[in-house]
Order: sequence, then C-alpha cells, then structure tokens
Amino acid sequence: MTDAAGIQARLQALRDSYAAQLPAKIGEIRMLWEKLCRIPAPEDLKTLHRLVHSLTGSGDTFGYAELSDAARVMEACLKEMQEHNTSLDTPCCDRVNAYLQAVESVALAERAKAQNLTPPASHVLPTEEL
Amino acid sequence: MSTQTLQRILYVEDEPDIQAVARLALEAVGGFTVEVCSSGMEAQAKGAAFAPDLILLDVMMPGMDGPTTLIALRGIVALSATPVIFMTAKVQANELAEYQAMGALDVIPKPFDPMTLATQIKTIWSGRHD
Repeated sequence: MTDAAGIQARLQALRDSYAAQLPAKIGEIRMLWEKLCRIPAPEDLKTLHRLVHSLTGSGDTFGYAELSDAARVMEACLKEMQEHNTSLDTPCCDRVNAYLQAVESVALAERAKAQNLTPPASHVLPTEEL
Repeated sequence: MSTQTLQRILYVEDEPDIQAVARLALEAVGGFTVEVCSSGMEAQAKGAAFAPDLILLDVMMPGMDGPTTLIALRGIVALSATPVIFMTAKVQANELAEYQAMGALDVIPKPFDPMTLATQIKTIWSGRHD
C-alpha cells in the first residue's frame, strides 16, 4: 500500500527543487552561449546542445510544457549547427539569440505561473513569438 | 505463457531531474526494485549484475541513444532476451513501428504521469503474457 499524500509531497518537493534550479540552468546556457560567440569551440557547442536537450526533456516532466517547446526549437537549431559545422556568423548568432531569449522568457513566465507570481511584463513574450 | 512477475527494472535515462521523478514513480508508487543508469555505457556495465526483469530505456540520450543501447545490451547474454520498453517525447507512428521491430514491448510517451507510470508498465507487462 502506498502513502499517496507522502508521494504527492515528495513530488511537490521535486517540482519545487526544479523551479528553484531553473534560473541557474538557464543562466548556464546563456553563459556558455555567450562564451561560444566569443570563442567558437565544437566541445562547447556539444555541451550547450546537451544542456538545452536536458531542458527540453525535463520541462515537460515538471509541467513546463511551453519551456520544453521553446527549448526544443533551440535544440534543433544547435543540432543542425553541430551536424553541418555551421560557422557562428551574425545571422546564425541572431537566430540562436532569439531562440535563447524565447527560452528565458517562457521559463520566467511559467515559473512565475507555477509559483502563482506575476511575471515581469518585460519578460512576457507576445503570443506570436511563442 | 510465462508467469514471470515484474519486480526489477533497469531504468536508463540521462536527465537527473527525470530520473528522480521516475524513481519515485517506480519505487514508491509501483513497488519495483529499480537500478537507474545515466547512460547506455553505465547500463552495459551494471545491467547483467542487476538481472532486471524489464529494461526501461530513454530514446534520446547523448552518446549512446536508446536504440544503440538496446543493441549493445542484446549483446550481453544475460540481457539478450530481457523485455524492453522505450520512453520518448512526441513519438511518431513510424518510430513506434521501428522500436517494436527492434523488439521493444511498447513505447511510453514523455512526459509521463508519475502517479500512473507504474500501472502503465504493469499493463504493458501483462499484455506481454496474454
């Protein structure tokens, strides 16, 4: 026999922990991306893809479906860059930057929603950009 | 018809946050004994000694993905016939057929519901013995 209330409490603790770690996870992605823009390195691109893939998979699991969707778009772009050895020229950087900004905005909005907070207006994306 | 009961699950998933939720779902909710591996390589190293009744495999993993891991595990005598269930996001019909052709019992879509994952697995397991 399982203790349903106890399990729900442990699940909620995992959700809270995920929400608390989310800014750091996204901050790490931002930092690595900015480093890549300064010094392109295949290993860093691989790590970045891995971090974004992780966000894609975990977001959905913790109820951050829109974050997963935004991360999935960025992940596909990074995968393509890896496969085609794309140079980090201005159009490419602009594209990844836009995807990353979408991930950051959605994460803030969904995290605020999960915690019943009002997201900062400047970080809420217009619907058509989501 | 086999009457083997399902007790031991080897779970291969690279994302630590998802591992934590799945472990809770499988151990606390389902009552299974679970060995969690973070990569196909780790599953290769630990799988035979754990002697699982079932292998639960994430599809998208860095390095060795789920299908590659399955091929590698099939090369280990003790795991050559152990039933496998894949887990993946946004599974397409052709992918489902491909995984079943590889010998997978079924595919569980991600995100999974932690409160019903164990039941879902038990249903698939029972179907195997019908």
